[in-house]
Amino acid sequence: MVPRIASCGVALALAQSVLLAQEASKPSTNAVATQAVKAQTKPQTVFDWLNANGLRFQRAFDGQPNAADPATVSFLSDLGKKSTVYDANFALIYQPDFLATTLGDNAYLSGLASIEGALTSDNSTAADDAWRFRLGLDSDFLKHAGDKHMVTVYTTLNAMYEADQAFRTRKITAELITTPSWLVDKQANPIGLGWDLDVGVGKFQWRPYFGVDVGDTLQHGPSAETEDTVLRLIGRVTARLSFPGAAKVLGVHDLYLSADDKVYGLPLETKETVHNYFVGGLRVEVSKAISLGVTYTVGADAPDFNYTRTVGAEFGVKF
Amino acid sequence: MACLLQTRDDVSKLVIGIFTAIFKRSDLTENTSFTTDLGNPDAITRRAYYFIVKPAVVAEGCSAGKLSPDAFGKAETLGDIVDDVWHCVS
Repeated sequence: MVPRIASCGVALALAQSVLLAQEASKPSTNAVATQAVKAQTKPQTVFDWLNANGLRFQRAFDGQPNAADPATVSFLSDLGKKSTVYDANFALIYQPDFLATTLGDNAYLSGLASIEGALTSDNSTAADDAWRFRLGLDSDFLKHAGDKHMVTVYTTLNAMYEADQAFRTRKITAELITTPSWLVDKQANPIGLGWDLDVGVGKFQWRPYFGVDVGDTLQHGPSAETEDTVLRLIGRVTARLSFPGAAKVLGVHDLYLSADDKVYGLPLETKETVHNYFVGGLRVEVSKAISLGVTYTVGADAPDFNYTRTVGAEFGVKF
Repeated sequence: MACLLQTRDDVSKLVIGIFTAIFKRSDLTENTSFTTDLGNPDAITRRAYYFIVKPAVVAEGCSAGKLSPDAFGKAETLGDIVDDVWHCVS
């Protein structure tokens, strides 16, 4: 195995340490066989089957592959209008293997189609009512692979048809969302970008996203975005403080506080050129697929950019 | 060159060896969890390991055309990656 791995340029730096470590830690044949049987006999759920056939279900598309946040059904109290609304946020994404290809050694492309809904029982109050239909490409790109640092960039580029819940506002845009990953010694980095960072009370993790939407307005509707040409510059940060010890005590899959803040810059608009949209909450993942939580939402989201402030309880599913 | 990863055990040794070298730990097995044992890289970060594992698979003379970053993003344990690579080369 030594000369074969060493002959591969990309794996060269890794090969020697791999082999030394392999020799030092080589498990017995029986142990490997036991692990193999264990891995091969893992129970398969319906969700696993759907996943294996290229379907994902999560809260929103938002450049989050692999079902980061669950699709939710929520009961929300609108703190501005003192009313209760029912809310559903979901994205169904189809990304089959046959639409994927490599581009050289450093890039991987994958085609996708998705339907995203943010629906509410009273769309005069909720800011996040929307439909989004996408056709596009995901890409993983190896940007830098030095001895010490490795940087990859995940990007999604889509054609998007976006409307509010009642299809009064309708836009068609090209959407680009990108986020970097940084590995030091191919492991965690010191600032918790995409990794757990031990902060005493729990594990902290964060990730930045950058995006741009460019397109045209088909119908203005009640949107605060009044220009015909759509140009949105988007900055977004997601953060999570998880409590693995408490999750273990409670016997649940995960327990965490989450925050997701999105800032829209609308340079072509003459009145409201900046909008902020924040979703935060506490979520208990009862299992890998099912969760319960409480959420607080404040701000204005596309396409209508209506300001809202809600607090409520949610039931979540993801796969 | 013929693919030298002829059995799932061959794949397991390769994948565990790669992550043993990365994390400088000798106790890794297929049951090692990214979440609880390896610092919990998020799904997008785990996708980066595709660019480390794929060249090692190719260096064994095997086609890695079916291997995808998505499989790494979904992986919860090293065993999941072993399964994905074995599925790819077998």
